[in-house]
Amino acid sequence: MGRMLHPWFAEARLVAARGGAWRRGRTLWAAMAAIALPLLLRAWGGDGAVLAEALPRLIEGLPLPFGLLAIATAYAVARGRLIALDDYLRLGWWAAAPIEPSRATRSLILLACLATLAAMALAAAVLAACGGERASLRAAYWIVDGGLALGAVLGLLAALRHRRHRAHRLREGARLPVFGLAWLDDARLPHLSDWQRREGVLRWRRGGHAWMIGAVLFGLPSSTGASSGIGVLLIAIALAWFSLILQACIAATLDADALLASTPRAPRRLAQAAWRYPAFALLCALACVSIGAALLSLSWRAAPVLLAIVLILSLPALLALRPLLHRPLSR
Amino acid sequence: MTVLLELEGLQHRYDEHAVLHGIDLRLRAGEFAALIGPNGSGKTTLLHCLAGLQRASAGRVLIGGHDLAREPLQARRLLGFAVDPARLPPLLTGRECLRLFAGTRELGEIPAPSLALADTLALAPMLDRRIGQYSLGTRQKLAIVLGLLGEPPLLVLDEPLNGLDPLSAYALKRHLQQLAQQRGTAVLLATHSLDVAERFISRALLLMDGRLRRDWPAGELDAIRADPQRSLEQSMVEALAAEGSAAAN
Repeated sequence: MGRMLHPWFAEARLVAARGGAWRRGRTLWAAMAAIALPLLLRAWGGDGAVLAEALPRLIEGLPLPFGLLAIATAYAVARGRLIALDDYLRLGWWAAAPIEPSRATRSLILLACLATLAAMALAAAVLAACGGERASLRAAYWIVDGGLALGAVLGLLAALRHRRHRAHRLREGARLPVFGLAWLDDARLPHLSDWQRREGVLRWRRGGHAWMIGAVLFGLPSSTGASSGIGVLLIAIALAWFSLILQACIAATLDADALLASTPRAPRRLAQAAWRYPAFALLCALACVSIGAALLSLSWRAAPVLLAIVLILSLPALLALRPLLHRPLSR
Repeated sequence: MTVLLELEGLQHRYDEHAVLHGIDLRLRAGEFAALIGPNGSGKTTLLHCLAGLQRASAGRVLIGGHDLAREPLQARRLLGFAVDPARLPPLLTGRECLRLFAGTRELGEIPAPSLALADTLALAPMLDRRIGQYSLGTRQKLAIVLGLLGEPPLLVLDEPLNGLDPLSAYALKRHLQQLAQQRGTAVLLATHSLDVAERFISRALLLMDGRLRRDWPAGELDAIRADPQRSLEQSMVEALAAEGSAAAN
């Protein structure tokens, strides 16, 4: 391996032997859980076993959506991880080391192959754990693993293309909102709402929480009518957007708190300035959800359910506020 | 004297924002040059382009006659570059980093001069600790020792004195001066410390708005040093003022 591959492998081995192994361990636990869950369902018997055995049949029955899902997932993961590693090798502490560029290319290809084989083996193990008819299992295996392999190859090609044609972009435009909301600004802490909004815009334009919308659309039956489909889409977009905006707002608020930590400001002022944009975003999201609910002809009884979904989706962001809540307000 | 670094019409841009506008520069063996200039003048981008971290939009970088774009391996074998200390791997120890880097320079073990430099910079006692436990200054020292490992004939350092204590900073300046004078190493050092530049260097280059505006050769620097009424700081301020008024006209 010595002269063929990048010496990053030696670094990775050392890092894995230390604290870096926890990440690998977490992935391993997740993989084991994915295999154990269908096994447990089958052991439970009854409806649980039927549910586990239904998955291979469902994949066999819907080859195109599941194949596309596998391709898209593998493509996104492979491309993202390989570009991140390439950037680390190119801009990190290995940057100026006299290493043949082809060694980095070979290393990226090898890693992509190993990770794809591992993902294919995991998918096969999960399907085998689901059980069911042999023909369904075989078909599901080819659909998922074929999709993973194809997606990974496309992701690898995209990463190698990115390596050859690197562009140096400032990406400033990515965080500039289309229109201004100057009236949202709080004079006591000017620009905080703008900061929150830019953070949200940047995360949204990078595709954050798009998976939520994708998951909802993926689950829509093909017989769904146009107005119902638009209604579901509006609700999904509003909920995904608001949960992302709330996370962005809280991240920006925590950053602002850290930035202003040494200044003689009252934390109450930060709180008073910080709620404005998230509250405005909530109103916008609720308006969008209301239109979606009207298109779906939902009654008022659905409102608590929708609000509960909003609350559940907001929980991760709200939990991030803990460091601020544990601080005395009289400072 | 051998030309170790040659820049021909080097340009670089981020999107539509041009940072370097056709830099031409030759650095010979034994020259200890300081690259000075205001914030945002393009110093770091220039150093990144000539170290191969960023690909120039146009122009050529030749290191020891090897084109960095066409023969990156041969060019980088002649180059020592101190990486950003923030990018050092926190879970590795300093010694492991040095050993890995020695491997890329085809050296079996960490060379004795590198260990001696680590000792001079008071880094040696920290080498077996994880980098995550290092202070900013200690990381900076490790980045410098990594850059100088194997004593390549061309050294490129971006603000290497940032975060160093006065003793270590002095030791590093003396070390670089000795490398230039005794071993013929060419050193290009981006710095804001004009007093450092004035006392140790043999050439100063002023970069402003992505253009090399002024080049003080060794003779002119000697004249500045000999005259107690003059200083490089004053000369730089005058040069900046002259450029500013030329731009206004």
